[in-house]
Amino acid sequence: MSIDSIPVRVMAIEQVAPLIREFKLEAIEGRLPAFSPGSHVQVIMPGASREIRNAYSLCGDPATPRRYSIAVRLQDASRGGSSFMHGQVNVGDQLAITPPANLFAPVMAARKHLLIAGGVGITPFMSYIPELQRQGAKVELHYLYRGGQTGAYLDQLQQQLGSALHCYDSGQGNKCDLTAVLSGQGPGTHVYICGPESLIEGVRSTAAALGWPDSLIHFEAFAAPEPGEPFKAQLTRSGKTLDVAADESLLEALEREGVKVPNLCRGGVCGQCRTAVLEGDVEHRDDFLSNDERSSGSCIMPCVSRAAGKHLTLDL
Amino acid sequence: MQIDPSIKSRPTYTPPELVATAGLQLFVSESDAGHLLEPLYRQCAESGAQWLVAEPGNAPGTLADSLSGYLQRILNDAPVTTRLYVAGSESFLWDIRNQALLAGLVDEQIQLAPPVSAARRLFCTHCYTLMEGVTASPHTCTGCGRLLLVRDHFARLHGAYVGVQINAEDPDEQPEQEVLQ
Amino acid sequence: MRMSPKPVQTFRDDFTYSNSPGAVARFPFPFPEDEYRYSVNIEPHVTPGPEGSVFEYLLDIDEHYLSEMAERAIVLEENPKRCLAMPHMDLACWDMIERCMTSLAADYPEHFSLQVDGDQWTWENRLLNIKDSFTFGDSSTLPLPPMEYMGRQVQGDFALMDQRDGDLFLDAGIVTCPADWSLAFDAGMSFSEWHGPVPLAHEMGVFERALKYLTAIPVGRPVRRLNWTLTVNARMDTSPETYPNWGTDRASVTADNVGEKVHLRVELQVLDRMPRSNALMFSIRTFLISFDDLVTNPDWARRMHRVLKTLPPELIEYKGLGRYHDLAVEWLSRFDPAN
Repeated sequence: MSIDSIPVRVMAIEQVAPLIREFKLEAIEGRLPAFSPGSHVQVIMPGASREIRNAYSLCGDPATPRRYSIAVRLQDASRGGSSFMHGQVNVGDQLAITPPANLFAPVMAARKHLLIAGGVGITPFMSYIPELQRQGAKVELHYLYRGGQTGAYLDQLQQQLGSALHCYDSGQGNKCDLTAVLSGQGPGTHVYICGPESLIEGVRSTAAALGWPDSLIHFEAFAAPEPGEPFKAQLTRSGKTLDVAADESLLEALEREGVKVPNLCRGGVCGQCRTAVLEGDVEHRDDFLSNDERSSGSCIMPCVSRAAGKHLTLDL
Repeated sequence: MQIDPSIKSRPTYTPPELVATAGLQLFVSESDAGHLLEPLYRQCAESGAQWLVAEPGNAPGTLADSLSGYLQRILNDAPVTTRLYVAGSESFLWDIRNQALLAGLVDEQIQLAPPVSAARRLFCTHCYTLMEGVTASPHTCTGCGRLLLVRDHFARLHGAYVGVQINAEDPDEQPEQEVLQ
Repeated sequence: MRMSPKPVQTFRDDFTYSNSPGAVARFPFPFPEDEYRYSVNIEPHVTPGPEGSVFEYLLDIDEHYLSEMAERAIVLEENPKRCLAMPHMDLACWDMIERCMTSLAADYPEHFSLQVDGDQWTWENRLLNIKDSFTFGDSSTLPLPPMEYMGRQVQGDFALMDQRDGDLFLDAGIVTCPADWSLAFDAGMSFSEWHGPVPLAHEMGVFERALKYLTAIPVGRPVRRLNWTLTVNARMDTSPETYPNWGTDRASVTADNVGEKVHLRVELQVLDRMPRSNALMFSIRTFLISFDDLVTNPDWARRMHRVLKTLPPELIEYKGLGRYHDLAVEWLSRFDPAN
C-alpha cells in the first residue's frame, strides 16, 4: 500500500485561474519517469492528524517528461489538501509524490476524441492534447468553467485547438447543451469526461438516452489506494499489540514489529497472507476471498485489508 | 491421440436483441441466415433500418467486394449510436465484426447471432494457411498437407480456430475423424 | 558470480547446449512445495535481487547469451513472422527499447553502453559488435523495426500488451522460444482469450485475479512469476509452428536416457509498466536444465519426483508430458527416500 515516494522540488508556481494554482516539479535526484497521457500522481502532504494524499493529473506534455506540472483547485470545504498546496507551498520547497499511475488513458484507436472538461477537470486533457495531435488524431474539447474562478489555459488551448475548442463560461451565462454536443457524432468517437460528479452524471445519462454504447464513454476515477484509519491489532499467540498507522498496511505493521506472515503479491490476489481473525470487523479490500469468507469475518488479507473499526484480534 | 481440453476462450453466442435507442439499425447476414434477424428487422423496418445480404456463391471465406464495399459506405456515414446485428456462418460473423471494428465500432454495438452451422475456418499453425468450411477433425491442411487436429482455441481477429499437426509425435498414428460440434 | 557469455552452443540438431556448474547452481527451481497447483504466484520484482541470482537485475544475461541470440537469428530467418508489432504499438516498442537499453547498460556495463543526448541516442552492444546511433522515437532511424531491433539483443521472448478497457491485449512480440504457443495466432487476443487453453485455472479464478493485479501495476514496480514445463532435448524453439520438427522427440525418451534428454524448462516472467504508452512489457526468460544436472541437487531431485508424481492428469496432458511422464517419475524415484 505505501508506495515509495519521489522527492521533488517546486521549480515554478503560476496562478492559471483565480482558483487554480499550477506547480511545476522537478526531481531532486535523477530524472522523473516519463508518463502516459492521463496519468496522475499523489502528492503526500502533512495533515493535522495524519498524512493527506491527494491525486492530481499530470497536465504537461508527455514529450517533455522531466518536469511535471500539476494544477490544484482551491476547494471551499478543503480537508487540508488544496489549502495546503495553495497556502503553504512555495517555489524551492520540497514535496513527495508517488510515481505516475494511469487510470484514464485515451483510447488510441479512437477515430475522434471528444473531451468534456469541467473546471479543474481540464488537467488530464492538457496531457492528452499534444500527444493526440502528434499522432494526427481528431480532437474536440468542450470546456465548462466559471470565468473569474476556474477557466485555465484558455490561450494555450485556443492555439492548439482553434475551432475545435468550445468554451462555456457559466459566469457569462453560457451553458453547454450536452444533447447537441453528443448528437451527430460518427463511429469511433470516444467521449472523455473529467470534472465534478454532476457533469459526469449529466454526460453519461444524456449519452445513454441518445443510444451511445457505454464503452465509448470514459471518465476519470481516482481509484488509488485509499489511506485508511489507524487501528490497533492484538496478536493472541505472541501477546503483542501494535498500532497500525493510516498510511501503512496491516502486513507492513506486522513486519515492522518482527511478525513474519507468509506473503507474495502484496496486492490482495495471491492468498498467501491469509490470517485468522478472532475479533473485530474487517474492511475487506482484497480480490482473493470469496463472498462467504468475507461475510464470515473469520479471516483477513493483511496486505490490503484493514479493521472496519478501531480494533482487530488476530491469531498470530 | 491428443485429447483436446475444453477451451474457455471459445466464443459463445446468444440470439440478438433489438436495442431501441440505436440511431441506425443495421442488419448483415448471409442468405441462409436471414431468418435469425427477420423478427428484429420487422420491428424497426419502418424507421430506416438497413439490411445487407451476402449473395450465395461467393468464394467461401471472402466477403464479396460488393458486400464489403457497401457495408463500408454505410459505416462511414453511420451514427455513433449504430447497432449492428450479424447472422451467418461463424467466420462470416467475425469478418463483419472485424470490418466494423476497423470502421470505429466497438463490440458492445455488435451482436453476433449463433452461427448457422458448425463449419469452422481453420488456421494452420505451421504454414499459416486459412481454410474454410471445416466440418471434421482432423483436417488436411491445403497449404502444407499436414493432418491437423482442429482445436477449440479461437482467434477473433482471424475468425478462425487453430489447427496443429495431430500426429507429430507419432507420424504413423491414424486418428479417427470426428464431426465438429 | 557473474556468468560470462560463452561460445555458441546449439539448441537443435546436435544439441551441444550445456550448463556450467555455476549455471546449474543459479537455476530458478520453481517449486516451493512437493505438489504443484496453479496459483497467482506473482511477486514484486525488487532489484537488485540476491547477488549472482537470476533475480538480481530486471533482465538476466547469462552464459548462454550468444547461443540464444544465434538461435533467435535462425528462427527469424526461417519465419520472420515470429516477430510482429501492430502499428499502434510503436510508442510501446520505444518504451521497451528505453527500458531494455537503460537497464542493460546500467547492470552489465562491461557489455553494453548507452549515450543519451536529448533524443540522439548511441547504443553499443559489445557482445554482438553492434554500435548504432538513432533518434529516440523515430523508427525510421533504426536498422530494424523497434521490436525486432531490441528483441534480437535480449534473451528470452518478449510481448507488449496494450492496456485498454481494463484488459490486456497481446499486440506486439518476438516469440522464438515459446512453450508451445503461437504469436501469429494469438496476436490481438485479450488476457483470458490467450489463456483459453490452460486447464483448471479458469475455474479457480486465477486469471481474473491476475488481470486485476496486472492492470494496476504502476511504472517502476515490476513483478515476476515462474512458469514451468518439461522439454525433451535442450530445444528452445518448442513452438506450435515447428512442432512437426520436435514432436517425435517426445516419443524418443527411454528409461535409460531420461537424465540426458528430459529437461526442466522454467520461464522467469517479468511484467513491467511502460511509461509513455501505458503498455505492459512481458519478458519471458527461458532456462533449461537436464534431469542429470538437476539431480546433482538432492533437494531438487526429491521435489521434482514428488511434483511429477502428483501432477493432475489435465496438466500432464496440457504440458504435453503424456508419453514420457511415467518414465520420468520412475527415473526420479531413486532420488526420493520416501519412495
